Amino acid sequence: MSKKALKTITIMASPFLIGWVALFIGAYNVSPLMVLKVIGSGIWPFLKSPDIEETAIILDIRLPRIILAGLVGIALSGSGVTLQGIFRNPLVDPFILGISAGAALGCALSVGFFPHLPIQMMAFLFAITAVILAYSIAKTQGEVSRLPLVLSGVIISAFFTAMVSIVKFLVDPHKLQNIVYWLMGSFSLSDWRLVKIAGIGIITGLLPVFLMRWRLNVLSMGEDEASALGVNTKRDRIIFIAGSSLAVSIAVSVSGIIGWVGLMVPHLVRMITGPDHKSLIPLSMAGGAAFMIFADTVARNLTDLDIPVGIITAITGAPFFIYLMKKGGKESWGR
Amino acid sequence: MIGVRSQNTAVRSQKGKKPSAFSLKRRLWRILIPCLIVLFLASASWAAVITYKDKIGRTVKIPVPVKRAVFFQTYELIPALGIWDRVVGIARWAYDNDLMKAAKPGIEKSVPSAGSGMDVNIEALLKLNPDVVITWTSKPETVRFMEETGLKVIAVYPEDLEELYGVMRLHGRLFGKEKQAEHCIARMESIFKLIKERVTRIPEDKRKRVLWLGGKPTSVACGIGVTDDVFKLIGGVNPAAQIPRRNADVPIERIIAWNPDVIFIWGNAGYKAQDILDNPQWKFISAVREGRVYKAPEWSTWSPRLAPVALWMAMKTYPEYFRDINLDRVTDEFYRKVFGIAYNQVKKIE
Repeated sequence: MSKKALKTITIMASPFLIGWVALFIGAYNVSPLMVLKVIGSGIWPFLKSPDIEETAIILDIRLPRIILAGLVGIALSGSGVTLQGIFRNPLVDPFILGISAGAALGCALSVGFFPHLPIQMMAFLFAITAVILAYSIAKTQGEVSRLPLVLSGVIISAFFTAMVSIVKFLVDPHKLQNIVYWLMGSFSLSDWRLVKIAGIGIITGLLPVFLMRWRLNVLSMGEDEASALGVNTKRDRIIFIAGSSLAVSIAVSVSGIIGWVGLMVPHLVRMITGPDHKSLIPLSMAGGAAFMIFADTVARNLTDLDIPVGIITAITGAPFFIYLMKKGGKESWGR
Repeated sequence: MIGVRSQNTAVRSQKGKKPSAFSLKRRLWRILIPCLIVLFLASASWAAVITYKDKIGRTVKIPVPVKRAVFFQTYELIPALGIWDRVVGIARWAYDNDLMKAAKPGIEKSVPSAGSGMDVNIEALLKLNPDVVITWTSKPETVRFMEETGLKVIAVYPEDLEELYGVMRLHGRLFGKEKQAEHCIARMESIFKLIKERVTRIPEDKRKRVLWLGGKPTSVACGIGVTDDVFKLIGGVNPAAQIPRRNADVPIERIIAWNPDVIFIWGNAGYKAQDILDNPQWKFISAVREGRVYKAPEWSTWSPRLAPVALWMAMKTYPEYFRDINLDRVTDEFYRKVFGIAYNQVKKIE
């Protein structure tokens, strides 16, 4: 087996391995044998799972949490690598287009003023609104090229963040606490309902990206080169941005704002396997899932408390960002 | 020099004489009267200043009685002490408070606001020209900022029942309403006494594990705070008390391991008791299995209202010991005697 194939297999298998280990670790002590028994009964229904606390902990608490963390990792990292490819900018991450600020506003409005509307729905609606606005502003300059889009994303982010601040100011301190919790990003309330929402949304968003991943190689060569090769750059770019935005906004809506994963993981994977998007896209998705599950397992087991996972990713992400800046992005970009 | 010598001579000549009883009396009075005046003035000036040391280590001296006060916190003590005439400003959150609305209809029109303890509009506050601003210790920089403008600021943060009483007594002294403060405490104590009498009958091994959930279902009240003190009072065991904090986010697995018998949800939380009861992740918790999950009213726990809330919690935890108690009647009597309003004028406990 070649070295590259070994690396590919290892990365693709990593979320399953880490997820498997994470199933055995938690605040409630469940014996490994019981974990296997419960998982076995989940896979083969004729083994009928025992109706005890351990079953609820494994099947209703740990398993959905691990799967949700994995799905969110796929969304953040998959979108990160896609946007970095489109913008040919290694320092772009999924939140640059205003997605997080939009989702945060949706959440804040839901908690503060419209408690009868689900947070997920509001976060998603506002995240998508932010992306559409960012794209429309960039379009007023005619051709949507990468710099105006990034700039309008920054502008929209700033505007939506200000709106969040207004909502935070207006709601009473009791509701403010909920908004602050949500903005820190956490999987503490994961359940199967959220897994379903995340699963459908993220697959819908990232499937076209996955199927068209080879075109990213062409797009990342630059506008003129891609056009010369007969690629409809505008259409492709819209598909990539819309798909990855949908995936990220769904991820944000179920888990809050978890930063750095979309920036960090694609770089790590690119360093290991090279810049070819055909393999980089699926490997980044797998790497993102593995990293997210790992970070969440740390978050829920490091202390007696359930630390918001956004804090863990930021602690690891910030030094990584500094490392990237020092390195100038050259090696990590593969050029 | 001559003058001095002649004076000394005069003194010497007086010393030689035996003083009469009359002149002795007069001399005694001459000494006593200034002493009495000094003592009177000193005692008057001591009584006119209150010294308060708060939890962030500040010592504040406030001249009393206070005539103009701004309440960013503890405003539920205003109707309890009957000091509306001393209130020149109030936190903006007071306008949404059911008790405040009932005690002072049209409060948003009659009492101005200068923001809250978190966001102070300093110009609006200075315009109110208060003798004292009462706020909390949670944002020390706001306290410092207000002090820099020359305002007298008292920051409170009661973390158990005794501290709450201390804060109530402080208000009594600030406004010269010591009797009313003691009256409130006595009314609270009578409810607590009722609870304690019933609870002492419960054997140690029959004590229930109780949990207080906060802004989200996995956020629990821990070993520091008024809530934990109420748990002790009602004979409940708080499994989260081992965590030396006010609140903490814990994994739901830990809550399952604690297996509380009764769960209370903070009144301002964005979810209902039914959300917990319907969630399969919670189904093996004793409180959920037995349907003993209750959402508390949106009442402050830094208020005399803590007493009826504690009674309600005790009754939900140990209903068998409180069967003969009519919560509505007790609470109504409490409201009338403490706040001067009927219980049905505020949002009732569900």
